[in-house]
Amino acid sequence: MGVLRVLSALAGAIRMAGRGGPGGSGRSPSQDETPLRRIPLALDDVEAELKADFGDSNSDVVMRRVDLWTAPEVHGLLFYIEGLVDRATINSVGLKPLMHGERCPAVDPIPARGDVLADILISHLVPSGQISAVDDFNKVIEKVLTGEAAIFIEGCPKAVVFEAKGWEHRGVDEPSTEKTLRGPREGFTEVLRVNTALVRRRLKTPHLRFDGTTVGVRSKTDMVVVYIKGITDPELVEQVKQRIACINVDIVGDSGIIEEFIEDRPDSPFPQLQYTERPDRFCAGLSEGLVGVLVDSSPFALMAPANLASFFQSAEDYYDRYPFAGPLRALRYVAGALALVFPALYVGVATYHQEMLPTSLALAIAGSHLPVPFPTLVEALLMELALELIRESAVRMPDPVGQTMGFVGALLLGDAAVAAGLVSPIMVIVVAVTGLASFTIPHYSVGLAVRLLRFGLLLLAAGMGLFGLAAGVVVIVLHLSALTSLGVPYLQPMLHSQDIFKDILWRSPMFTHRYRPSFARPVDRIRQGRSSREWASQRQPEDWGRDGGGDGESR
Amino acid sequence: MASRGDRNHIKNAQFAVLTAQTVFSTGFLAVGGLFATISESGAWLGTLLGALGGLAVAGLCSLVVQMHPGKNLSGIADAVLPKAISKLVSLSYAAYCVWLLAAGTRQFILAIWIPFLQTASPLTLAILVAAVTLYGANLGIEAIARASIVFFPVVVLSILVLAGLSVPVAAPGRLLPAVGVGVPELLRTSLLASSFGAECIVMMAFVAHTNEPEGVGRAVAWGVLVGMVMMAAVVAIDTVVLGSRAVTRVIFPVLEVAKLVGFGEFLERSEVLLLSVWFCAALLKQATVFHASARSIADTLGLKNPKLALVPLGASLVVASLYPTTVVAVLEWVRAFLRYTIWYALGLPLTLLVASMLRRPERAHQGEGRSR
Amino acid sequence: MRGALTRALLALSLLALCVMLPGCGGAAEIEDIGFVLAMGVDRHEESGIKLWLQMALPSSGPEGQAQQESLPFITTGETLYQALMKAQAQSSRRIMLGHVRVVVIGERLAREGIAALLDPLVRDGSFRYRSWVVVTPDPVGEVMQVSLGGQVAANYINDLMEREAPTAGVPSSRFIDLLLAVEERGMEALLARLALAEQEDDGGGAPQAGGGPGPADTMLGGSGEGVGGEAETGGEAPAPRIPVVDGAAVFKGDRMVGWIDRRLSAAVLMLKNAIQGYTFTHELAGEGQNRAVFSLLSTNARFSIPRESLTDPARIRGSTVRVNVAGLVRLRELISSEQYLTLESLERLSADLSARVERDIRDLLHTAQAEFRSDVIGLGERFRQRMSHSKWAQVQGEWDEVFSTLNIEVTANIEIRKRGQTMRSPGQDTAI
Repeated sequence: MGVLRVLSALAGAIRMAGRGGPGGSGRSPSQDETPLRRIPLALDDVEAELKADFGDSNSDVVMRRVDLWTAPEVHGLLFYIEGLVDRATINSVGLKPLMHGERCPAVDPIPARGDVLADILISHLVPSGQISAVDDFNKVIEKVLTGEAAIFIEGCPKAVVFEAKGWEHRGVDEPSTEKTLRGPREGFTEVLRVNTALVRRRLKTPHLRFDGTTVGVRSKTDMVVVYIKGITDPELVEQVKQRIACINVDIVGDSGIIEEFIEDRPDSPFPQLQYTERPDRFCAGLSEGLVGVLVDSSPFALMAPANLASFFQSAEDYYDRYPFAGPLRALRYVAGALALVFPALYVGVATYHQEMLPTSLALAIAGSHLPVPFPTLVEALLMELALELIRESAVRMPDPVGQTMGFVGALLLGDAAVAAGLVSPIMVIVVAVTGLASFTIPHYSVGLAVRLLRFGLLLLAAGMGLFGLAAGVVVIVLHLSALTSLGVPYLQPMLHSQDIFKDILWRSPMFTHRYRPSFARPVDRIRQGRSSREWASQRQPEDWGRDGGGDGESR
Repeated sequence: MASRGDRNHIKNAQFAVLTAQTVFSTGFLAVGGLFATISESGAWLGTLLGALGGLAVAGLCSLVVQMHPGKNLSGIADAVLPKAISKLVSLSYAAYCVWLLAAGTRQFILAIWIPFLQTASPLTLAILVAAVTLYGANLGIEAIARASIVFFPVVVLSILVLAGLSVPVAAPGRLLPAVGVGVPELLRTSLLASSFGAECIVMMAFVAHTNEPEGVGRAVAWGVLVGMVMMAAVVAIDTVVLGSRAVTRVIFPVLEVAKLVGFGEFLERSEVLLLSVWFCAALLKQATVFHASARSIADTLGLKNPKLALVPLGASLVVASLYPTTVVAVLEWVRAFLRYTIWYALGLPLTLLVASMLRRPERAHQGEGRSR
Repeated sequence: MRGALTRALLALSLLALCVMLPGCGGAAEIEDIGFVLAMGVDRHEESGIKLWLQMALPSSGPEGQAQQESLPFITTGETLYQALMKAQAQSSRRIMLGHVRVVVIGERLAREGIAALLDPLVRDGSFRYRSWVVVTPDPVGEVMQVSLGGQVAANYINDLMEREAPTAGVPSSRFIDLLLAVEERGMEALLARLALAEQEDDGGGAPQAGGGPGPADTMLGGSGEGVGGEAETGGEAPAPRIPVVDGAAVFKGDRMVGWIDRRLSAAVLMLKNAIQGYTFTHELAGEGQNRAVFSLLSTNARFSIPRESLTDPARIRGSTVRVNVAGLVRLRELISSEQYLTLESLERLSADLSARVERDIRDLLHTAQAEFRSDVIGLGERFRQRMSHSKWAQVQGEWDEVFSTLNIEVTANIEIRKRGQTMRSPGQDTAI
């Protein structure tokens, strides 16, 4: 329902924008119902209205007058936006049949009357799969703006609109933010239909649903809410749709903007929606009962609900064999904790709890800090700041330059700072380890949260030693405990002791994942049958000793 | 926020963890020395027996709760007692919670301040503790419960680590004779110890928040048991490492034990780490108690928004946790606390139980009567 | 909205707190800390206490760690705390006792009582209870000045106590042991004796840790490969004396009452089940210079205390306590024509060793009961554990005297557990 309302509202807004310019969009677009805007019968009027809507100066708006071959000749107007359509399609589907219609003898006897001509075009002449006759002028404009072409015919109240999409876009590429050594190399692109196709190809079930909607008063960005009926909690889907329907914004540039509109607590440093560039990960999420959101012109798909654990899972965890995936997963949590507290721990211990260190280490730290003129806290802040600068500048640089920049920046800066006696070598090590650890968090957005919170903890540790740090950690954990993602507690899966080694802190073998994770409340909890490795237990006793392994199926 | 009803409620496992944390978290610091002065080598046994007192309180509470499903303490009091008395009960309950808060905070501040941060001002420490406590209490019991699930296993682990590390320096014979000074002293110890177990009545303020109401009593009992066993273990570790006489000479024996044990050469001094872990749990306990007292005060005064009670309470907590100034006085305070609170903790649910038994036939006549 | 506001306020106040704190907090930059590694304390005629502190200098860079440097402070004061305050006044760094490895106590002070030392150290929250406490008959100042192979005295003595002490039968005398022994009745402190020994000039060979008391047959000369390596460095004119651990100081309460040699101190450890690889040479029967070196891996002493003395304190005096010591030894070295490859010969050797251990323990008990009247073996604690509290309270006060009247009968049962090849370096061994 909401979707329809939004659609009609948007159409209304467009019309007002077209008529009255920017000033016309001041009214809330959701309030007025759009009356049907008829297509004028005279082509000149049509052209005039189009010009009124689009203006004179748009170079990409093509309005081409053609004469249909009928006798007497009927005037037509082919209307499309250059760049959004495929030229070859326009030529072969649109222009050719119109101008060379005599090759189609079946329609010869029909009188060339404008009002029936539209139907004849659809049924006989224009060879296109997606073709329709539209009698609403606004709808025609809307369709043309999404890459279709329209043929207006003199004296006909309908326009023939046919599919001719064919804009330039990036091909399906390897996702650059979620690289894996093993696993599929396909990533989402900026084109919604390509993305939906990527998903559809992986989930060949009729229950896969793409519920489309449009967001953005001016951008009219298409987006789809994706879920699998029968698995995903309908309440969850409804909630996502409801939150999306409330969005009333001018343009939507990326799914990141949508994220901010629909998450529970935008002021939290922690992201509450997952995003991914990988269709495989997206589909895995859908199959666990998550709701996905695909936004046109964004290669990042959103998934909800999220929890803390989901940001430490990488697609590769599932493609590598579990004896390695488990420890790697655990390592990532350790790294996350390290990235959060390591500098604070160092500062706290070095300024308050010197008795905790082994003597030789304490002396080494003291020795290395001897020439440094700053207190440890200032030193740490300076170094952290430098690290953030290097990171930020390297991100903005083109790839090869960025890498060099990172290396040069880190090496030169660290080395020179130590040589100049501004920073102690141990601090450089601390900061470098922290930096490395924060890169192992697979999700950039959680990495950001960790980077931000690290500074707070640093200050607390400098103020009260480890107790300040402990208090800070308690506050963070309390915050995480109170956080929800679409109403689902953020820490929920981590609080279930039986799940924690299944797929949270550790990844156990895939064949033991009999149930879907419970936090998204899937309607159907059973993920796989018991019998995935039935064959292993049916082995004959004489096989005993023939191969070394084969246990694990007993679970 | 509460978009999906029962998700924001507490499971019974979380309830048990909250209880255990409340019972264990602040008392264990000083308990070894306090009890060893009374019954020397029998202190650990006395503490263990003290679990019985705590269990009794838990049992009474669960009886009361079962008669009034879906109600918190003040709701129950309103239902069964005359209005004035029920206000008095709620207020006394709040007073108990505040006392608990102040004693616990003060004790922890001293434990941190004396050995570790002597030059820092205790005021800033108190403010820090109060701020975190307030934040936690403000987020609500569900958030505290979830955070406790994260931290409490770490606390249990830390006690296990402490026990494991103290094996090389321990002399188990120091636990003998198990009766200690004598049976009367042992009983006195266990009576005092049961005051810690009795802290579980704090949970009465949250019983309506569980989503498995029938198992609440069992959860609380488990929590008391776990908390008291851990406390007894701490007392035993204290005694085994320090001997029953040296234990009485130090204020926070468990800290001295932590000083003695270490992970070899590298982390020889782990007491700061252990104390920080315990500090985390203590903060969560404080938040729990704080939430309980704020809620009970709000109920008594009829405040629409229980959060209004938080700020003045927080301020008074800061002030209260700065006094008394000497360790000896604090220990005296803790002793007084131990001496009296068990009676309160037993008396409160007993009163409610008796009152609701008397009320029951009467209520049958007037239907459901007043409901909150 | 309101939630966001409170959160923001909270975060602000917290941050303000932190920013304002470092100025007035307890933070101390680590280079401003004076890490004291060793403390030496002795009696001073005029002012009471003489204090030596060995403060480590921060090592600059990796090459600095090989050659550790330290700064000595020598002060006096009426009490330990006053002496410490004086040292603090002299030092530009904040003195911290958290890294003290060794406390060296002079014999004079030890004999006068060390209770006054314990209190300020216990009060120092950062002081390590695992620090070693040793008593030296030699001048404390000289011990503190020892520097061998780039190691300062603190580290050297620490290594000595960690590696040498167990094989030399010297008690593990940590601060906590001293503290508990002084605090609890029913056991007395036994601290390691650290003496300075002449270094032998013919470098290369293991220097004899001579100078210690005790019969020649019980002394083992191998007091350290570690020392042997250092022999070259001390090549200049007057070879500095090197510290060795040798024997132990017996305390009664907080006062030292006398020395015992390593043979007797090992006997104490046997009775306390604390032996860890005590190594001794044993003259074998037969003609010629036949000898074997054994290490005693572990012992298990079982005391049987008569029941009536547990229930009736009056009957403790003069009662008979039986103790059986079961031990495991490893054969380390055998220079003999007899190779002990038969069961009978091994049994003979076992019996021989048992007799030797019994003799050692009897000698110790005689010394402790008759000479020192000090319960170093912790027998009182064993009584306390088995008696009811009220009964123990009756004897507790006069336990030392009661102890000296006990008639303790010793039997030993030593078993040769391992013989043949060893794979570990000398000195390293534990019971399995």
